[in-house]
Amino acid sequence: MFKRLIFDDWVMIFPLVAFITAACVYGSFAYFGCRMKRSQSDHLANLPFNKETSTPNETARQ
Amino acid sequence: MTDRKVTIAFNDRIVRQFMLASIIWGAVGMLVGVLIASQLNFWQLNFGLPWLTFSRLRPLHTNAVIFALVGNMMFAGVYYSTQRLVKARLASDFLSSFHFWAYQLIILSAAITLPLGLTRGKEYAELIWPINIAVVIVWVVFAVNFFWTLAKRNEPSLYVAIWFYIATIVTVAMLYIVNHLSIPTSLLHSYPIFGGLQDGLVQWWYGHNAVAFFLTTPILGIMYYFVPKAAERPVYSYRLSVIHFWSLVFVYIWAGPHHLLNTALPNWLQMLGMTFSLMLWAPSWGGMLNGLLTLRGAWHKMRTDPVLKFFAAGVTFYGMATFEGPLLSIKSVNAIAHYTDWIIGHVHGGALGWNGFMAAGMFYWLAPRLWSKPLYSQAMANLHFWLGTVGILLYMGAMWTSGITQGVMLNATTEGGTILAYPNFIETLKTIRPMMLMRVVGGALYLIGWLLMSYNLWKTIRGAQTVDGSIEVFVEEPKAEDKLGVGGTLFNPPVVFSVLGTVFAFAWIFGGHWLQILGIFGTSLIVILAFVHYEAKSHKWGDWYDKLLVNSAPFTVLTFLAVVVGGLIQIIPTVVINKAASVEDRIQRVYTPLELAGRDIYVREGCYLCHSQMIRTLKPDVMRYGEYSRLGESIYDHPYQWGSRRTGPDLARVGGKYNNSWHFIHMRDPRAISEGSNMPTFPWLYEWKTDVAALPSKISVQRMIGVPFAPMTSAEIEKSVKDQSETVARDLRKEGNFIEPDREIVALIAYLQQLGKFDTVNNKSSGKP
Repeated sequence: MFKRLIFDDWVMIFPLVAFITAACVYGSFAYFGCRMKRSQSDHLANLPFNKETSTPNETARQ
Repeated sequence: MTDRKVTIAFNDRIVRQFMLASIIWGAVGMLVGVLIASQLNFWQLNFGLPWLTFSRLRPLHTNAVIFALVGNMMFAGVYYSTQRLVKARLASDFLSSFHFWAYQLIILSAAITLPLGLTRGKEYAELIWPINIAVVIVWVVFAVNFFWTLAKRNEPSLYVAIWFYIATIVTVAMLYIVNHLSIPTSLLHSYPIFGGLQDGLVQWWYGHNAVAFFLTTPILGIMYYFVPKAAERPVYSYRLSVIHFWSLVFVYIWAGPHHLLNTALPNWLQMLGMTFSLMLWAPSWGGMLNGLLTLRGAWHKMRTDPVLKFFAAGVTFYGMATFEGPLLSIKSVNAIAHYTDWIIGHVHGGALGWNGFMAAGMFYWLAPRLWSKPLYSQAMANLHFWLGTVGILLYMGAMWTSGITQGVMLNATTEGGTILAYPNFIETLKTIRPMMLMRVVGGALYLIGWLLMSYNLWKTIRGAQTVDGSIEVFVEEPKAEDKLGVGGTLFNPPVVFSVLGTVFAFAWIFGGHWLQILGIFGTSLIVILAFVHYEAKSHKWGDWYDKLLVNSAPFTVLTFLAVVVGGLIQIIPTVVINKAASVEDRIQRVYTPLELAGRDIYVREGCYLCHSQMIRTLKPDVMRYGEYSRLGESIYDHPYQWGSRRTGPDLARVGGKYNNSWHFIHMRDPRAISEGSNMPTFPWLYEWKTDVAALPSKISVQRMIGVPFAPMTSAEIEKSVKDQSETVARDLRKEGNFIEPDREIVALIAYLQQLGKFDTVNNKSSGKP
């Protein structure tokens, strides 16, 4: 479809290179995620559970 | 410096505002959805009115659901959870209010302009250029408000939900800006700078990642905050959530080309899209399981708690949709599913099940807390859940059945594969009619459930006292050793090795003889050095990663780089190389001024929403519609019109297939030509005059973006239009169809009759229209 200078069969390497690149990056971060210390993981997992109070809207603003 | 204890009062007013906006706009979007689904069954419901016609309302439906329902819900969830996770009030009340009101104004503008036919002609990117600019401004305001809040935070660590929000903000900004690059021809009209294949690729890079980074990542952030809160237990595995995040961000951005499988898109891009789509299975299901397993030990609560019901079902639908997506990205499956209702069913599984149910769960959880009053009726909420669930299942079941049925019928051949089994397209449409009706029932049930929720929440908040949350925190001075400046972010082993490795890999792939050898050698060397360095100094790699997690700015930059690389790899080669000068075989003929005017009418009326202009490289497509579409045959189309659904047949080679009178009668009364058609009528095209005055500006912009129109004065353009329209009108008169030559139907016929006309490259025309 295009002149041969553009894309030929060798461009099939793109998916392969892309796959390897993404897999390496993903693998690195997966590794760092897995080696997270238990205490750090627990601390982060409990962040949504801060104790908060509710105050009526009129007085809530600082 | 000693730590100080302070009370932080959250800005929950903005959360309430976005939540109510989402509920109201959601009802509007779904109501329009039920109406257009009904129009597909009963064409009379188009009422012969331009602004009530299916093809103009369909973009209103999609934009309302995506940007109004999910957008407002997302902002509510992001603002509520971020304040609590970082223990800081939103940075600016003014920016928060500006964000809300400007966003509502944008939605209102969309609700007015889309039915008026003011569109850019690209799915989910229809809004005209002045609204595009407003959207960018609002998004920047959102980003400033968000990152400013992070800068003021009193909690050093960033919870994974914040990561998902950061990815959303930077990626949506990039996608939206690139896909909306246009040159205006007037205050209300523009042409995208990309055309044909380039436009198709950019569009689906945007379209697919709008699903990923607008409908998925922010809702995953919301899931990681609200599901643990509702279940009253931490997320099942925080480690898994980290892996979920990075893998989604790295993989999702590459998968866009799966929307263009078996088309004229170069095969390497199709393979790229398919490969990465299949890779998405793992992170998506990891995230789904993490969400569902967070409910461990709380399953019994689901019997009575509607919030958990909605969350559990929402996450399950996320799993279903993300299983189905990669499945549909396999080329052979896509050959059947593409252009059929199967895709519609898939999309609605995500939109109704994942987005809609997560929104409902969040609203039911938030309302009692933001108005300090128990939910008005748990029973009504449970009824909403069951109506919604049954509605989704009916909808998806109907669309699956319809899609597979029509896909199989359209591809079926007989006589040893030499003859189409169902040569008349209308036969396949008639077969799926019952399923199309079932979709209306499913959608209506879901809408009734949503209205029940609206009533329930209205009764809950009516007369109630609004309350804002507050929290006491110890403000700690940040530790100097935790800071990671620009130098620390970029000049460290992981980034340096990654950058060098990428540079050498590119030299390897793109370089000439010597550069290629240097690339191979350099890549190998970097991989070895990185391995050796890691073995010797692994703590440096680990320390850098740990610091990254408490430094939002470097984290944001690296996330942006992760997504931008995936986009550039696809788009740069396509934009640089796949242009008219490089085309072999066939090239599109440049439109005449009248044909261009007709094309703009075609775009305005949204014909591309039901008719494709892309004959795929599949035998049944070729047998039904003619030779497969070459890449060069739409290279001058700004915007491209390949389409994504065939409610009607493909039009890529319709030019010359029928005479002018056929089109004249068909547009006025489709059923007079094609018995059983569900196409709307377009009576106004026989009354409205073609906008010839706008053509000089339009042609000037077309030339600017690379379409080889010959230079023409306004008088020449006018004469060209007059001559060609009189020829068409004269031809129509011969068969007893009387029309003034200056009417829009004449321009539209001229355009349709030109479709499929091309020049061979070796015998290329001068470009004169």
